[in-house]
Amino acid sequence: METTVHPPPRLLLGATLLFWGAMSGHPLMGLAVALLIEGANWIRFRWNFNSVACSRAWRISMLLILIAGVLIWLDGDRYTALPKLIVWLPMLLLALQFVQSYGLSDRMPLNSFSFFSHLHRERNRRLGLGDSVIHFNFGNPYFIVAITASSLGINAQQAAFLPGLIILAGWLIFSRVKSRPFALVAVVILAGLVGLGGQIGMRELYNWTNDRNAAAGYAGTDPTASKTSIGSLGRIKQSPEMLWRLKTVDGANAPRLLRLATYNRYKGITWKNELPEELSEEIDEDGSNFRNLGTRELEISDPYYLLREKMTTKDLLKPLPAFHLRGASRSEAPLPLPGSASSLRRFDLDGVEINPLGTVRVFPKKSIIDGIVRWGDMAAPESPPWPEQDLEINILERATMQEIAEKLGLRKLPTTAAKVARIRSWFQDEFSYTLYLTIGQARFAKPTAITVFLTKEKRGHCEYFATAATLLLREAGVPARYCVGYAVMERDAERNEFIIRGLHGHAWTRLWDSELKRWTDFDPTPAGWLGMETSGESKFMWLVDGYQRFKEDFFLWRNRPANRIGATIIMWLLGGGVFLFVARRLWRSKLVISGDSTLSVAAGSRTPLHDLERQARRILGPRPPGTPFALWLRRLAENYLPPDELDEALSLHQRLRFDPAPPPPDGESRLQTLAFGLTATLKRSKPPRTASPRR
Amino acid sequence: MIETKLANRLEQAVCAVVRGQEHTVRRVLACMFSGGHVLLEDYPGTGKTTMAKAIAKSIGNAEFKRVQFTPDLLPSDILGVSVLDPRTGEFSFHQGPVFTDILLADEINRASPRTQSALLEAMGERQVTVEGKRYDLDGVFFVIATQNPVEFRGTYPLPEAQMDRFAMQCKLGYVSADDEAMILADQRESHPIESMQPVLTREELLSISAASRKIRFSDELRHYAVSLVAATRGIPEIQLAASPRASLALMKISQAISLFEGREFVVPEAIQSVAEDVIAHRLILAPESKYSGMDARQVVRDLVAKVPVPA
Repeated sequence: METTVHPPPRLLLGATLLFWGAMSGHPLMGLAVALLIEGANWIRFRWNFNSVACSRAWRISMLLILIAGVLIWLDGDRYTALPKLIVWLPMLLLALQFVQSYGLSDRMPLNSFSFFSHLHRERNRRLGLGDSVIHFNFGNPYFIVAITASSLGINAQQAAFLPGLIILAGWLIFSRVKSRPFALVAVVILAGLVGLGGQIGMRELYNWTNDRNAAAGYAGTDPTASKTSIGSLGRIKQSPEMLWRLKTVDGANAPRLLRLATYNRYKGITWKNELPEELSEEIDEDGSNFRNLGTRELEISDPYYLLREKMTTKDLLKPLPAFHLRGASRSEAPLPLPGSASSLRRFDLDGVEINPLGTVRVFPKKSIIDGIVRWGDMAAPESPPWPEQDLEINILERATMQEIAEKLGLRKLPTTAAKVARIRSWFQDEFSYTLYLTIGQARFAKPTAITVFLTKEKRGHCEYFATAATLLLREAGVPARYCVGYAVMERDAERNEFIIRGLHGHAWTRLWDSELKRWTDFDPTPAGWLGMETSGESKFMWLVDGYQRFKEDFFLWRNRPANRIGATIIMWLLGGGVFLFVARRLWRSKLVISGDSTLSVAAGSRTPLHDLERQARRILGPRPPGTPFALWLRRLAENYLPPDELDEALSLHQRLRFDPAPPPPDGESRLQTLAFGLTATLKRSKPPRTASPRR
Repeated sequence: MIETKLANRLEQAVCAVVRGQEHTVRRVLACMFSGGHVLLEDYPGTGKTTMAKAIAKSIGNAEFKRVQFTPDLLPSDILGVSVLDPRTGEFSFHQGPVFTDILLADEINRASPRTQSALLEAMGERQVTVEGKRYDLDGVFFVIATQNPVEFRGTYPLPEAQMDRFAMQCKLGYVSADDEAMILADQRESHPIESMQPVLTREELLSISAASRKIRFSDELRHYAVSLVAATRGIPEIQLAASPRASLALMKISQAISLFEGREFVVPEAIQSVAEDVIAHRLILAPESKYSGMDARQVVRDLVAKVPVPA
């Protein structure tokens, strides 16, 4: 027909798919696909796939890619969706490779992959116009896709990846080019290095997108330290993205503040986590001190996590306000909880940990979690105050705090409540809230940013208020800590739920009420900041919210055990139905071909001359299916074999092979002798040094 | 084999007159030995009629008739007609030119399809039915038809059924310059065909035919021949595929070709060498492929290259 196309050598695709299976962690799937594709070498069913079949297979593949993309996206991995999709490409493009492997043609027209180009071609065909189409063998792109997918597999960081890659690439290259072995070795080494570079690049890209994911919605929730924007200039920007949804149970009140993390030491502009001597031995390598909380079960499959020490199952039966909490989380991320949270219920977690300051972090099983939080029993999960840490004031701030405490007469007030009220009213009367920061002070400069805030500017955002209030309370002898988290303030009346967005991020003070012997939240920021935060919302927020809500709800719905089984059954039924339909149609339209020439020669019809085929192939390349054996071998008469002997052997061969009459008595032995001699002659001769011996 | 010698003698005699067409001459003769009919198609002046006449002349007592096909030729002009004898008052049948050993149907596509079809029965079944009465054509009955390519003016393409009756269609093509110069030299004084002497008797021709039928044909090759013909079915490029008549002709002609080569059995090469001439003219291409420049002979060539041949 037209030019030759080069399919990948036999077994290479199978090996590549096995490699993909190993690298992506789906060895069985890799094995099954490899068997299917390489089975074409032994199975004699073929289909006369035309360009319509090619475009149909292309559409099926595109549809599968689309479905897989949507499923992966709905699984909550927005940034890692693309690499994950690429890992699955060898499976998703299987239909096309099937058409290639089991079709009669060794090529497909490139224009079957474009809808418009296909239409154009059909039109040309109808009108009888010729067109020039690029034909190619799909095995080659498929090989590249499988290699690319392998490089993104979960096992691709292991040492086995690079040698495997070099072997597979070398296999392909050596099968194509048979001369210049040294140049080839160099090329293979180069390819290996490029592959290594590509792998590292892909990995970096993957990690980078992962890091972006990490940075996107969870900033500032490191339980060991929180760097504030105290002393910086400019507008504070926070994401309006919906992070959590909260729905109270049985009309209970919603908490006003949800804490992510608590810190107790202010230094520079950073709030940190500092444990007393006796506890510091237990500090983990990540600098925090988290303790695992065991689960308890009231009923089977209803796990409770009790957040406080010395709680018993009996405490669970006490009636307490509760709310549903739903949102995206990831491993080791702090969970936003009210200060007096008591227990977690029905969360699908691998574990919950809590540190002595009351920061709770979770290890979710899925990217979106949902469960019930019980709270509000006037107790707190964290340890009682440590005087050394919770009353400490940084030397840079100490003078200012003394001065202001003096001015407000804090020390003389009798109760903690009175001190708190004093500070609150001072802030309320003389300070104003702003998101636009105007105090530019270096970290350890004097006067500090907090001093400037308290004495001169008197405007700032929540971090200023919370930090200042914490330090003032400490000056007044009240143990206090600094908390970050969210303010619960946006209520969706229609759905009767609260929405927590990135811009609801807040900071406040948690203080020890020595009269009541418990920790309590104190939000020193002047009321009215709420309105400022929500102004300037986008018009399309409802759309973004709707999408987010749908995504989360669908994800949870899909992962509920009953629905999961149902969905799995439906998927299997649908997939199985489609598979049966396709398989039935394929089975009906199959053709059975007679196999490769060397294989199809029956034992009885083999002559000694057939042994020459292997040697001859070395010089002539494989025998095309339509070329008779004698005609093919006769090409060797010119340069390689003595013509007389060859002619005699060939006529004997034809006699033995095609004459139904009984063979001459000594024919077989004579041919044996001739064939032996010819094979020996051929072995001595060198193959021609042309790049491609195939015709 | 004595028949091989006879066949080669006939071939040499014809080739001495029809210069530069050795390849085609052998096929045409093989077709005659196998009992088939041949259609020679090429441009005017390429030696179609000369070849037919040369073959006829070199067979001794064989009867040779020619019909020049013209647009106004009627079926009765070929088959024969009943004429009222005024003396006896009865109709008597006057045999037409079809009652012969070798019939040259010259420029067959100049006659109307009605007349062309008059040959259907004769060619297919070696008999003629006129006015309800059957007349057998026994012995040698070999039709050599010639035609100009159908794209030329004043021609009627042969109907498919008629085409299928021809065992093979050969193209002569222009000969090489050397051969053409030799043709001029031959004909300087008189046409060599005039001085041609018979080299074979009619009986010898029949014995060659009988020997050709005895050439051995293995089961495996029988399957191969069938699979070659069957491969034309189910290809989108082809509207009308080849019939079992094609497989039959393929077997018979490859037997006769093997006889020429002195072999008592058929090898795959023999089948392949005649496949194009035997199969291609029976195919009707789909309009799309026809107008996109495809050619039935090319299709058959591709199939021969693709269908696995017994090694």
